[in-house]
Amino acid sequence: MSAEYTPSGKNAYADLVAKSWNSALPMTALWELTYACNHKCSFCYNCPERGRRELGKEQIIEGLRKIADLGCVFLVLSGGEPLTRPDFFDIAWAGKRLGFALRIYTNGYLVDEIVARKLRDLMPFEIEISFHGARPETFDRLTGVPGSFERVLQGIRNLRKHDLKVNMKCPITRWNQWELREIKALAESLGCHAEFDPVITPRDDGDTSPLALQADREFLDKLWSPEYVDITHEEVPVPRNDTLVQANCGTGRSTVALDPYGNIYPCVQWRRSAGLITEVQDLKALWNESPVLNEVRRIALEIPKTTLKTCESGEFCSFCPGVAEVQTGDPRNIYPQVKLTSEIRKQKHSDFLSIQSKPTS
Amino acid sequence: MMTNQAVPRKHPDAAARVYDEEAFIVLPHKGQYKILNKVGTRIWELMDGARSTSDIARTISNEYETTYDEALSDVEEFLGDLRTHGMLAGEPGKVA
Repeated sequence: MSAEYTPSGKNAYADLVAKSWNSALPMTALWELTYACNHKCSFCYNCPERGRRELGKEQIIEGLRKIADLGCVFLVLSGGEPLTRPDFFDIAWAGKRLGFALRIYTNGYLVDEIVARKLRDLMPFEIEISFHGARPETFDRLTGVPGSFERVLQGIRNLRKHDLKVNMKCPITRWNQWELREIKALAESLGCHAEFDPVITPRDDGDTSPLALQADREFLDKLWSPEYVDITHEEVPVPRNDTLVQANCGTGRSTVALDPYGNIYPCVQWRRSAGLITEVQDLKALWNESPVLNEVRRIALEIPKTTLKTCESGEFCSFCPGVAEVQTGDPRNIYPQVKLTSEIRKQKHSDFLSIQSKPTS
Repeated sequence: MMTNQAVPRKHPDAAARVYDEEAFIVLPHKGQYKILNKVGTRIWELMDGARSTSDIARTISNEYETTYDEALSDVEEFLGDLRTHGMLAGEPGKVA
């Protein structure tokens, strides 16, 4: 008999995630509690439905009970800006009492000393703050709110005073692309981890205007070169490894996503509603048997064998069927951004191999 | 020092779910997560705030066909690991 705790955390965690993906055991629920937001980011993908009422506190808490029965361990409270809800802490505490580990995605704008103390009492696993630039002019231009840089920065300092774990998450745009190192240095000076994401997506209604802000080709060429290994943590782009998990991604498998109206989605990017949390009695049965979710899972399984096989740079694709559907009408279609990024990544991989194979004098 | 009659309690901030007989335990106060094997998971489940170490060892002994003394020794060692990793109640909260 061995009752030892498993110290080889990384491998055990990778195995667990693979199990979650392959068996559709969702570990995370992400709930956009509101579309209300005090920032006006022009690249935001949210699309509030005019006049539609968002769920009330009691409806959300009842929904959380159903999600706890489904077996998720992480509860991500997102938005919009979740802290704009006056009942945010009631909802968060209900999640905590139901046994979830909380992750909070916020823009940090409302985190004054009082809110920071309330968050400390809540003891979330982590807080993720969108961070858009190392300079006020860049940051405020991207959020559309003058003074937001200083205020968000102070919010982060308030959280760090309580030793809360803060990740600063930076969507890379052509306006901040040359500030990444400054953002990283700023994050480190605050005791935070910085994460950079070059993916800008269309709005949920298919409007592609946010794509105009994507990082440009000149920058992306550098991003995946060894010059930016401190940002990407990748010496050279590596091809996909689809041996551990068979599906393209965790959609309909690892995460259940919900919007402020209670729609249940296979992930936050793929907005095919499987039902309303307020109407479903048995979420586990819905999760396992929904024709919508089963279709999504089937497509996600097909993609590595079809879409990515026929695409010349498919093995370097970080492909999102949700984006493909909203942008092209078909979740199996390659869309321009993924084509561009996979081509660059493949080229960088080839460049690296050719350097490696050159004989040394 | 925990006696056999002490009642081990999970850390109140720990969030846990069992996936395929393995407990995944998130420790927000440490910024960490842990995964338990099947026997560890069973002990974790038995830590309901009412059972003593001795009660838990007795159940493990019955379920895994081992002697009570062996089970008690394993359970105590396991609880020591949990304590070391901040997974028991009474641990000072600290973010890693």
